[in-house]
Amino acid sequence: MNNKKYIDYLNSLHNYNAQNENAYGEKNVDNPYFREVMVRVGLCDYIKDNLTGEAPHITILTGHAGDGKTSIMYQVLTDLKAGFDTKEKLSEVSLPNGAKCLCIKDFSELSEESDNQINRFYVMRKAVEMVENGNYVFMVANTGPLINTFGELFDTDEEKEKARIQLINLMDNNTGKVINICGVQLCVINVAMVDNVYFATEFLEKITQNSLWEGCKGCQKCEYCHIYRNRQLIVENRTKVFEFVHNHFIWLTEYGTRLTIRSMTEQLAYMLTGGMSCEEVRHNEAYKYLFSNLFFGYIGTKQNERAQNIIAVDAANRCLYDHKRLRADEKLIVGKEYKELFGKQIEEIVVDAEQRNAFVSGWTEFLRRTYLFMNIVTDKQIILQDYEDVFSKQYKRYLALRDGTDTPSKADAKLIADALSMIYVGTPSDGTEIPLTLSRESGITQNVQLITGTIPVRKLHVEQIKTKDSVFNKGRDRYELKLRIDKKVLSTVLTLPMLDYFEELKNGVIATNIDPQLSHGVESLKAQISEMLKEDEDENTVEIVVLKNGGNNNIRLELTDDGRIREV
Amino acid sequence: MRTFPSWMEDDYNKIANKGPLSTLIFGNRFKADQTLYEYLIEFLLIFVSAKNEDLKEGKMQFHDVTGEHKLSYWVEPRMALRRFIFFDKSKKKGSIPEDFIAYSEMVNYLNDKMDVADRESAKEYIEDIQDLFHGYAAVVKNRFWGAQALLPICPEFILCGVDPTEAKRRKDVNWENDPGSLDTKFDFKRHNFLSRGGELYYLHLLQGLEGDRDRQERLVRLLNDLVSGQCKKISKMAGYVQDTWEKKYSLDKKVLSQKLEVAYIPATGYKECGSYSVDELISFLSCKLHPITRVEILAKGVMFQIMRMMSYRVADYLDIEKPAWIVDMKGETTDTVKKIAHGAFLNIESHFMSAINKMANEAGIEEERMKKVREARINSLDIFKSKGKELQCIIPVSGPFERFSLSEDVIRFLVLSLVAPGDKMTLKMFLEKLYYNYRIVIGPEEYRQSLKSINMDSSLANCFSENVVAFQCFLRSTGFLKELSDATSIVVNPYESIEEAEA
Repeated sequence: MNNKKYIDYLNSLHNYNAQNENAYGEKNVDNPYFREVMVRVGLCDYIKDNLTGEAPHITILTGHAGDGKTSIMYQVLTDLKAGFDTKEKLSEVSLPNGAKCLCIKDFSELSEESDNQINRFYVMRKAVEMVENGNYVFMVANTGPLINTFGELFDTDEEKEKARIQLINLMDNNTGKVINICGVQLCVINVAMVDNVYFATEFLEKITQNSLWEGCKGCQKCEYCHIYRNRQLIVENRTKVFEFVHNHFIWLTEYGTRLTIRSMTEQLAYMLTGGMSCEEVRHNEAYKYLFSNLFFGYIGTKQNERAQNIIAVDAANRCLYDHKRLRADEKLIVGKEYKELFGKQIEEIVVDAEQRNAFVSGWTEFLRRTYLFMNIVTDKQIILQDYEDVFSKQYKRYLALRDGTDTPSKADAKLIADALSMIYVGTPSDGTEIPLTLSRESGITQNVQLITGTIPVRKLHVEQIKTKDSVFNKGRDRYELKLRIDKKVLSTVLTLPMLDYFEELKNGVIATNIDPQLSHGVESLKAQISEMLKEDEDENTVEIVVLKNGGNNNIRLELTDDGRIREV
Repeated sequence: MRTFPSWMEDDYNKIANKGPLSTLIFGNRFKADQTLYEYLIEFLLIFVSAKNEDLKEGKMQFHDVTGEHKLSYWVEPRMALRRFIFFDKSKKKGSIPEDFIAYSEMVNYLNDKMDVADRESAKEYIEDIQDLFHGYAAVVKNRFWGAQALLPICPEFILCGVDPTEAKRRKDVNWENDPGSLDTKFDFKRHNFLSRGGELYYLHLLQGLEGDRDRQERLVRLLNDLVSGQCKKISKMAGYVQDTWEKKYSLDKKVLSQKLEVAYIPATGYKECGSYSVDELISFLSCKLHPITRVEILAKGVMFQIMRMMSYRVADYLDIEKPAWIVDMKGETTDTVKKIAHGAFLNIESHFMSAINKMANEAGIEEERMKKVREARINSLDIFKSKGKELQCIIPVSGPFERFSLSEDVIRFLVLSLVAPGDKMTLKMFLEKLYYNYRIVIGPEEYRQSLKSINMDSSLANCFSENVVAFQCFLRSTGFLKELSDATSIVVNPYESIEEAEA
């Protein structure tokens, strides 16, 4: 048990045992291991540059609880060679350019009461004065108290309201620029809106690094210790494990569950230890505490209810990856080609487990979990299939576009064209043009629809646009996808759920009850398209599409000046 | 009692001691047969119609209320267009033989007007145009063809109420010598389905404008965009069908037109929320939505505002605090909020009945009192309830524990009407706004506030926290909520503004 301290530290990062004393930034930064496992956040450089390069202003770091605000402050101040005293609420440090910088560790923790000398209002006032005197302020604050107190700086209700709204806008836009609001120079950075997915793999890299596990080698439990085994397996299967972890967190984010850094930390720490300390490690069957099980909150083939208290574990479990049928199932479950799929070491574990579990419910899922993290398949075709089966058909493509490793192609535009055509007239696009119809949403069938315009398919493009938060993550650019028709880029973002929905639409799966978020996206896309085409309208020509079983029929009729109808 | 417009008081006094009671309380008048869409249609009908005999002046305008004169409007019934769209597809009740003749005349005539290679496809195209129009039907039900209604997406589709009066037409219509008589012998003034509910809403807005020129101009511009800015091709086509018929038989639009009159609303009661209604309408109409969606949501929003009118008027008449609409967003079977919300709803019901009884006393009604009270209930409270259920903002549709809730479309209307396009506010501010404008209670703060005046124990307020969370989830899934952090969320109106786009 030579590495007990470190294992205990890992266990203090998650809440499986309801003892997560190091889950809080201000506590964690004091721990000696923090320096070892700390992931350098791109945002730090951004703030540092701001504090040293920009004119005097207040930098405010805000965001969800657990997003790593305190850690960022620690990193910035360490970089600036200024000490970070976790106990002091306010401290003043000197910046390299000679100016002073008031650091407010957690603005929201300050008292609201006016009888307390260091109350929120007083501190906010002081911050404004600092800037007026040519100095800087760097504070961490929760959004609510910040908005309220900032408004209080002003006299009339109207001014207060205005200041608050402007501040909200600043937080929402999150450009990171120094902006003057009602006379105060502010730079608000909302960490909640900055991509943090990269954190997961970098953190996993840090906590499994060699130097931290040296101590385990001499331990007498080393042979059977699942914690050490997990670490070894992760390192040995690095590519696959990291790839899956990365993909999983992107998937979650795209489907609306953005986890905080604290949540990710919890899950990844728990994935190694299973919540056990060195003393608690016993001879156990190897398959039970495999990290691939722990990641989803399983022990062997059984779900561990208690582990679902860890937010990220619960979220992972809800994705039901291990319940999805894979084309690889044939080899994995039917053919039992463990050696080819996993290699020798895992094969032994699986074969050993199979003797007692082959007919237990949950065995198939166990095999799939193991496969997700540790398969050694190299056939590109099969890897692509796995992506499609585990996530979705469009996922791999989406990742490539999101990370900028590829640029949008005609095929991507074709997907949108087919989907739009399905939405408007119920058939896939024929590759020439898409008729836009003035149809009702409420499900009333309209066999004949008015065509309000057409989009030539060749003018349809998918555009890749760098996200706003890329400025905070240097070298980790991210892109979002938008639709461009001819020269105009529509503002609706084509999200992964939308692309997946489009894919289903194209294949004729008609989802009647699509979730509202999706319908909102599709609807705003429709609204923008119809608005765009409004201008080139000749009122005298009516084009209609007649929907028939045997295909659609387009008719163009013109109302002539002498009161006749002419087919055009 | 005083009325708006003030010079309509004589009309009011004529019925002041006999009823109908609901008219005495709410104005002339609400009636149970009017469907949800017909409130919007009737309101728009007044707006788009000419305010003068010449059929030119006052189209797409509000009435001028500076002088003392009856608020008349001249509608164009467009019976030929209705026959073209609905006759073939509906039951023939209320029709006379001449209608059959006229219908086939019309189809044939339009056929002749087609410059198409072969006659077969010409016939098909005419059917296609009929189907196209019929696709925008709003109210069909089992009605006589002339009383079916279309979505108000262009001025030609906004049609007045018609009663078939079959016996009278059999006698009076002279198709051979006077083809015009075919379309003028209906009864246009009975207000069966367009039973003036839309007029009340119109007056409500007029009162809410309070002669404020700027707001009026803005509203006029936006309503213009709603009915004539979006579906110009449909408008053109529909106009063509009607005009072709009129030209063929040399009918005079003025002869075909009908004069209708707007009645009155009570001088107080609607006034306060009238100003909100105007602002909300302006904000909603400014959003750049899909033209059809815009009309569909607006119909629901207008109904929701009418429900507020009723609720506010009852409180005003009884001289009590405006009642809180306690909304249950969770919809669970056993829940404290459910109970409280139900209690509040019962409260509103009993206020309606108190008001009706009070009016019965004031009017000195003794004869057939029970019958008249029942009638008044049907034409006020029952409308409030049944329309509320249709909007899914009163749940359940049947069964016990009736209470307020909010449905997706109503929430859409509320967000778009309370948050200006492209704007945002914190969730807290939005909840306050809902309370201020509608007395809608969702969160604990508003619940406490609603109890302040009646000095009740507010210890149960905390169970409303979960109610807010449910509301928040709903908003998020509809794309109206963004989270700045776990403590602060903002409600956004994601649509662009029409006015800005034009500027």
